[in-house]
Amino acid sequence: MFSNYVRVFYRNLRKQKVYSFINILGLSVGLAVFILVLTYFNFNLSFDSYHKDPERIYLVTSENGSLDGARQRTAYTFLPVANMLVQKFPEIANATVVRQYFRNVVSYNDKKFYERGILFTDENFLKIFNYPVVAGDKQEPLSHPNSAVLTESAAKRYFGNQDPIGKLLKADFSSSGLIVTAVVGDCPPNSVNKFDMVVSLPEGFNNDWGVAGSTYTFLKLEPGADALALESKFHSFVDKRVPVLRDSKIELSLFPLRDIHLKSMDINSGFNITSSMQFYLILAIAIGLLIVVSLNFMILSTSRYTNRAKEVGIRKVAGAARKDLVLQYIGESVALALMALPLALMLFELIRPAFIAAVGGGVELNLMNDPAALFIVLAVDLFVGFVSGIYPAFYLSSFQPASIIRVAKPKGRGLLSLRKVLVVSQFALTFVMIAATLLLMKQLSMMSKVYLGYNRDNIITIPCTFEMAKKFDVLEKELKTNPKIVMVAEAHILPFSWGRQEKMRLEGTGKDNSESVFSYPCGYNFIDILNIKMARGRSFSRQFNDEKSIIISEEAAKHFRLDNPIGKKIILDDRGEVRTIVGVAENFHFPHVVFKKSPAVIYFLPSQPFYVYVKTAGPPDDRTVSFVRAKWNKVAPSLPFDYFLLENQFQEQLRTSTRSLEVFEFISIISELIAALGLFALASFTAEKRTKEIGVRKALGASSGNITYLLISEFLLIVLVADLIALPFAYYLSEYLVNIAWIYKTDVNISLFLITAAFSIVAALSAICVQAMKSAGANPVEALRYE
Amino acid sequence: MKIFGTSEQNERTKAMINLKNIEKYYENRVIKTYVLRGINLEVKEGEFVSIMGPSGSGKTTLLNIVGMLDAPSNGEYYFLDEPVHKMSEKKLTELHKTYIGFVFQSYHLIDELTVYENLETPLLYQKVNSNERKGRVAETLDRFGMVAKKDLFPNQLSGGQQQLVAIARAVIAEPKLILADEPTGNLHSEQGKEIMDLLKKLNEQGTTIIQVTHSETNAAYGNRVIRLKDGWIEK
Ligand SMILES: Nc1ncnc2c1ncn2[C@@H]1O[C@H](COP(=O)(O)OP(=O)(O)O)[C@@H](O)[C@H]1O
Ligand SMILES: [Mg+2]
Repeated sequence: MFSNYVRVFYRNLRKQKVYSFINILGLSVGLAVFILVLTYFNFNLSFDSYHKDPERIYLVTSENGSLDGARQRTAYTFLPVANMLVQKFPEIANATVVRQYFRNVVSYNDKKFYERGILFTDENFLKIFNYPVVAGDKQEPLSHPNSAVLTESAAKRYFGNQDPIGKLLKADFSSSGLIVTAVVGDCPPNSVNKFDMVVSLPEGFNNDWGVAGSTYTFLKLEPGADALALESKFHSFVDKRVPVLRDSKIELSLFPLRDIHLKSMDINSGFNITSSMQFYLILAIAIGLLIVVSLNFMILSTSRYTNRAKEVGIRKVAGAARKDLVLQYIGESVALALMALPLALMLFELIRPAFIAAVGGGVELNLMNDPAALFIVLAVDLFVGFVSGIYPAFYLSSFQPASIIRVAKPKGRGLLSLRKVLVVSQFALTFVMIAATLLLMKQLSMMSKVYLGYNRDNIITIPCTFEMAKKFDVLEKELKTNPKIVMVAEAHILPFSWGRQEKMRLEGTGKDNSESVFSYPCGYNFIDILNIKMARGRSFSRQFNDEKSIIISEEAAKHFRLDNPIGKKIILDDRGEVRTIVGVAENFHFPHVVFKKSPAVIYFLPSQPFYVYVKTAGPPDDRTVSFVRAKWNKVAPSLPFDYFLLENQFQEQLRTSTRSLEVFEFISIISELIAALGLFALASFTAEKRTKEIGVRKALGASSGNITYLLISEFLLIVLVADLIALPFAYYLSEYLVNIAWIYKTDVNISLFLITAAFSIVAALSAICVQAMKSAGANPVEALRYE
Repeated sequence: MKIFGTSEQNERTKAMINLKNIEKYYENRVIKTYVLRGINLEVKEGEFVSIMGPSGSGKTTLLNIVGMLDAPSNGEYYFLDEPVHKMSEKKLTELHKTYIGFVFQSYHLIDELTVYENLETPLLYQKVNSNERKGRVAETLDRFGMVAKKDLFPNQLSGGQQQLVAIARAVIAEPKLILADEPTGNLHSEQGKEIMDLLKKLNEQGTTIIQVTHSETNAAYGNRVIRLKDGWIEK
């Protein structure tokens, strides 16, 4: 019996080569994209799972009130916190402190690199986190001061094929140099805190409450310890008794390591995190595609089945029970769906690199070592096959054999109208997906152009270290000799980085009133080079001594309720300084564009630059860049020269943070293509069914044009109906997306949906035109002889 | 198949089919169109009955009802004294596949299956085991002189050959009853005669046969003629 089914299945496949192929191909494309997104999903969920007992590892975060009332939570604490906690609470098994430096120059002989994010930590770091030592001291490589542990690729960078162990590295932060004590494997891509180099903290350092800044504290709890209970002990004990915490009203809390990657968007940190919203949007659109593909599969399957009604009748006459037939047809459908699987795996391999590039790289997507994902894919595939087979199977097997056999060509009405419903759903869903994609594109383009209160044009940006401070004046003078160079500035930050908050208050108020405000230190010319406009007062200038000056934004003036801010004094609690307001800047927005406008201050802090900005008249050309490079190498030979354009970096950052957009575009277009394929198949089958009608019409004098119109208008109607049904959903979804996700919102207007509709109509037209013209051109005599 | 065993001979006169007041109509929103009315018919085992009548008089409908491919709108149908009109679909399928073989005017072979596979299909549904199945298909191919054609597909055969396959398929499961709807309607008279001779032979071997035919010559092969007109049996 089985081989009988297989033979019929196989011969039908061969007879309908094109449809079978479209059917399998469509499903495999959908499955391939689904596999991509699934593995991407799993990759994002797998962050830091490679440590031992990762669910027992927690980050200590600190929370305090900020000026606009919201609680501000950061991943940063103080150096002694780790030691203090581990001594007080027996449920903490181990604790480590990780300080991250922003940028340093490290060198070995003539090899000299900027190291970004060196981790300064203690010997517990390698006990809590799982970075196996591949060479050198396997026990406690960080127990001595000035020890450095490199990753394999960092070691290769400095030492090539030489043995790195025991070698001495020069570093701008250490007078004695760093001794390489061990080499660990490179950090897996699914790490929130990747590093190239780990250096031991100087002795005695971790008793210093004065050192704030980028200090992370990680705890590993004892098995079975209750994190919530522990956290409440922090609130009742630590927060109140430790003077630094109590005075600045900082509360410590715990955050699971495994949740950092996806769930810590609202925690200020330097970790590798992903917006879970984008992540879920990608998942949603992939599921949308999967549904479109399944609908397509069903449409094509039911089409294939309409020609099988006669077979059903004969089989019934030959003694087939209904369940035999149902099994046969569901089996065929499942078999067909299974045939899509190998092709899907091949396509997955094929498009994986492009997908990885689209999501911004740094991602590892593997299906084969992910049994759960494999299982899900198989289950989805079987499910699609099963569901696609179920309706035709029951529908066909329900025919009275007499009626099938009598009407040699069965009507198959039920299947045809089911197909129409499926095609409508397919196009409706695609409409929503395309509209959402267009909306995101529009939003991104709007955000890339929105004026944030400063100007980024024509600024060559060169990373550096504090060492630049001593040389800045000379560099500025040298650069200014070129008439194309308008201005040179010392900068601590990029104006579109997340930003930092500091505790501050007006002079004359108590420490209780201290609140967190976005605050940006800067050097000479920073305000002017970014063209931040002053509403009142002045910006920093060499003509004055501005070491005790501060500039506040209009928003901040409003929040401090200062009608006449110039001359008023602000206390910076974290720095223990009193500063005088010398100017009020028109509002500017330094945090990421997706965040809300907030009060901000800029204070003058020369000689700690991380960047030098060079503004040129007009877009910088190669000659100007070469000029800058030459001067830089002359003035600061110890600092590597590396540069980017501020505006490009801004756009790049925006793209990275909205990287799901490319995935969106990609998936929506595929979805539209597949929907068009479904329509193509429907058109072909309808045309086949109407061969006789077309023949008669032609015999009666209808022109090819008439016939083409007849066939096309019917399908266009289907697409238009789909678009109309989808419109309210698309509108609602767009409004929803815009409102939850952005501060600077693009407007949701009708043109968005008109473009989407045009898109679907073009796709539909191109799918059906070929078929319509073919039928219209057919010879009527031939058509009639068929019947 | 072997249910009746040897007692078959003794019960030759037993009623195989008993139709009482069978009606069949099709209705749409406006009218009810009767296709069959007041049909009372008894067919005994071993009979060879011919149904005749003008086109549209309900012959095919009647045959389909007898063959359990279609349900009457009203009336009672007893097959070997069992009430068909009360049976579940499952039971019907069972009864149908055990006792009845069908031959159509337009053959109705499965296009995607070869001659051999078409013949094999009813046996598959009856769960005949592989060895017996092979034996029976071979025997039938031999009996119908089609051994050389066994690997051909229906569209590679002439009409007469296709009808031979259809009849072979109808008899391969050794049904007690063969229903043939104008089996020679699409054939030349030469081929038609061959088919009729075959049916006659099957009848002589004990198979009950009901055929629909337009030809008096073919009707003469049977031992009783029933004439339908406008859905009524003519007296
Ligand atoms: N499904 C149906 N719906 C409506 N009328 C039908 C249907 N099937 C058959 N008929 C009608 O029933 C009548 C008898 O048909 P049929 O039994 O095929 O006649 P015959 O075989 O004697 O030519 C015809 O008038 C036919 O049009
Ligand atoms: Mg008929």
